[in-house]
Amino acid sequence: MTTSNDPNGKGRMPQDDFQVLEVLIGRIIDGEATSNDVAQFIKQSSGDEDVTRLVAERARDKALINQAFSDDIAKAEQVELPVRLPAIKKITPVMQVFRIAGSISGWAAAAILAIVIGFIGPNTQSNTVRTIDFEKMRPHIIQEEQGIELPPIVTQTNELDEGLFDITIIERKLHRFITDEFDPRWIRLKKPGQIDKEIPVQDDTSGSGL
Amino acid sequence: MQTIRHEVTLIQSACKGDLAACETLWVANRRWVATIILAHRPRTVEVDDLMQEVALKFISKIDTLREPGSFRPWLRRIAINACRGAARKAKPTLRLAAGEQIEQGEVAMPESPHARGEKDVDRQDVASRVYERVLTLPSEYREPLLMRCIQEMSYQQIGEILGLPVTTIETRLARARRMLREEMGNESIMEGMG
Repeated sequence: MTTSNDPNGKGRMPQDDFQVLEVLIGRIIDGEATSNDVAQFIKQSSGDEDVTRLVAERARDKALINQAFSDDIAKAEQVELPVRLPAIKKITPVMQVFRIAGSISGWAAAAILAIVIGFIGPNTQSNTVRTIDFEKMRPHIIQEEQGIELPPIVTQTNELDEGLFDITIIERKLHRFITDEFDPRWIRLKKPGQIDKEIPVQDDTSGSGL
Repeated sequence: MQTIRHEVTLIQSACKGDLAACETLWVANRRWVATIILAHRPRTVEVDDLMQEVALKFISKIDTLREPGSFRPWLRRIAINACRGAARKAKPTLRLAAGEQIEQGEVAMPESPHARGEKDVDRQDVASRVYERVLTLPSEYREPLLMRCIQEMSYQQIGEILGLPVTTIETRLARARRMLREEMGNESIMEGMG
């Protein structure tokens, strides 16, 4: 290995030069090298088989490290957050609207306002909801935006014996899809407890409920 | 810049209790958190156990984060503290090799090709030897090496998390790689390939 201090390559490269070369090699195999780095590396290593071997070793070691720890990383990537639902607080629907809208923006805020207003409007007495046939929609999905959790809705609370309470909630999550097609028959009207039944939707102007 | 802005928004939302933002942040960052744990954990503790602990601390303490820009160093500290806590609880079954030292907050493990556990007793492949050799490196070299090789973090990202300049990161990586190769000695890595 030749350097400016050892033009005939008869001795070991001085420590500083060797470290500079190793840093250069590191930049190259890590994809951090600039064009100047590459030019300097070529200049220092031209025709030097030891340097070529060193580059190959470093690149190989990098791949081996990745392989060696892959099982541990795979285990770690299965670990999810212990997410809990927020406590259901007694707030008015209007307060709920402004609290939610204050933390998010754009399409999500508009959607939430429509939903919440729909829930507190005259249709809240309706016992039908609009659902969607995901299986029919799925092949047409081009883009999705990740859902945002809304505070859940309490559907019933019953007091049981022995000081216990039975609480049922509906979890709500906003999820937006961009599709390349839309068929109104994907939208189904459904009563609670009813077996899923496709009902043609003639008018899609209603913005209430889910 | 858009990505950075988006992440700042996510962090701010997470600090306010947005669970979806918390989840997004966790999924985006848990791989490099795992590299921190791998660099610092006592060998008797499983990495996923420590990840669970970090996840719990993350969700319960995210509201204490003051500056979105310090999110990653904050998360790293949680991971290291989890490892140190586990080390304090771990039963000391140590035999120090000649010249080996215990670093503060760490438990030094004896050098053994079977130290990883019963399931790896039969693993004599090169990757297994590399695994053992990496874990014998000093933590200040081990940590950036794992962050680079496993998570493919840039030098700047590693520097921001560790609070070190890029030049220091480069030097530590170069030394770590050299030390690893020296530890591997004359072992022929070509035999283990394929």
